[in-house]
Amino acid sequence: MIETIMAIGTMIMYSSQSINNCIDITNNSNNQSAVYEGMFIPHNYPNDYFDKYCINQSSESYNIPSININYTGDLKNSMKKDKNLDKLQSFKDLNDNWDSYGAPKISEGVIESAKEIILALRIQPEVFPTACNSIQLEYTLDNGNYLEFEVFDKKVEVYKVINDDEQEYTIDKDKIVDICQEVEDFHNHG
Amino acid sequence: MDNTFYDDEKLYRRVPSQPSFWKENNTLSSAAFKDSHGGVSVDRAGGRNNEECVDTIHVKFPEHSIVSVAVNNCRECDSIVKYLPVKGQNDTEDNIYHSEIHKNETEFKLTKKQSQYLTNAATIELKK
Repeated sequence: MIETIMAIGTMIMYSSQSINNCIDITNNSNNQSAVYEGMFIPHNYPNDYFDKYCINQSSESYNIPSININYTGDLKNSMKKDKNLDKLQSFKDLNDNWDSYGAPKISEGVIESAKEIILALRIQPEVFPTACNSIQLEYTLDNGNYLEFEVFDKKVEVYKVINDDEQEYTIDKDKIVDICQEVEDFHNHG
Repeated sequence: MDNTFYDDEKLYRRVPSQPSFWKENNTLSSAAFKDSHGGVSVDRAGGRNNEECVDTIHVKFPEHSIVSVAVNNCRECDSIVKYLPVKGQNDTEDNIYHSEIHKNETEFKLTKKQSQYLTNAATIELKK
C-alpha cells in the first residue's frame, strides 16, 4: 500500500516536472528570445540547440529533460544572475584609468556580449572586469579545477584547468551554446 | 637601482576595491594580474622594507588593496621582470620603483596560465 502511494506520488512529481520543463516556442518567432526556468535563450541560438538539448519535440512544445530541477540551486543561481547583471551594469560607470594603471573604459560591446552569456548560463560564474577591455567569467571548484572565459568585443578566450590538465582556446563570442555546454561539462565532470 | 632582480625581491601590485577583484572564497581573481599595456605594472621593493613599500602605495592609493609576489614567483612561471622607472607627466609623479612583469623577453602580455600562477602565489599585504 505504502509502495503504491509512493509510486503514485513519484508519477505526479515527474508529471509536474515534465510540464515545468516544457517551453512553448510556438509564439517565438525568429527574432524573439525565450526564457526557460530563468535561463535566457537568445533568439540567435543556432537551430541545433533544441536538437542537442531536447527530446520529444512536437510542433507545440519542447521537453528539456537534460536540465535537472534543483529548486535551491536554481534560486541561488537566479539570485546570482541578478547580481552579475547588476555588476555588469556597474562596469558602464568605469572611466578611463579605473584601475589606476591606465585601463581603458570597458566598451559597451564587451558588456553586452558578457550580458548575453550571463543570461544564457544556468550556473552562474563570478564576474570581473579586466584592464584589457574585457570581462572575465570564472568558475573555481573546491578541488582546484578552474574554468575561465575572457569576453572581448568579438571573441571569447577560454582557459580551463581540470585535474592539472590545462587547455586554452578561443571561440567566437556568438557561440553561446558552446560556452553553456563547456560550463555544464565542467560542473558535471570537472 | 638597475635591472638586477634577486629572487626574493618583492613586487607590489595595487588592486582596486571597486569593482572588487575578490572572489567569494576570498581569493583574488587573476583579472587583477592583467594590464592594458601588456606587461603587468608593479612597484619593486628596491631596497625598502615591506612596511615602507606598503605604506608608500597606501598613502597614494588609500582605496586599493595591495598584493605582492616575489621575483622568484615570476621566474617559476617563465615570466620576466623588467625595471622600467616612470618619469612623471602633468598630473602624475615620478615612480622610480615602477617595473613590469612580461611574458618573456619579446612579448609583454602574460599568458592566462602565468596570470593564474602569479595570482595564486600572491601575498595579500593590505586588503580593502
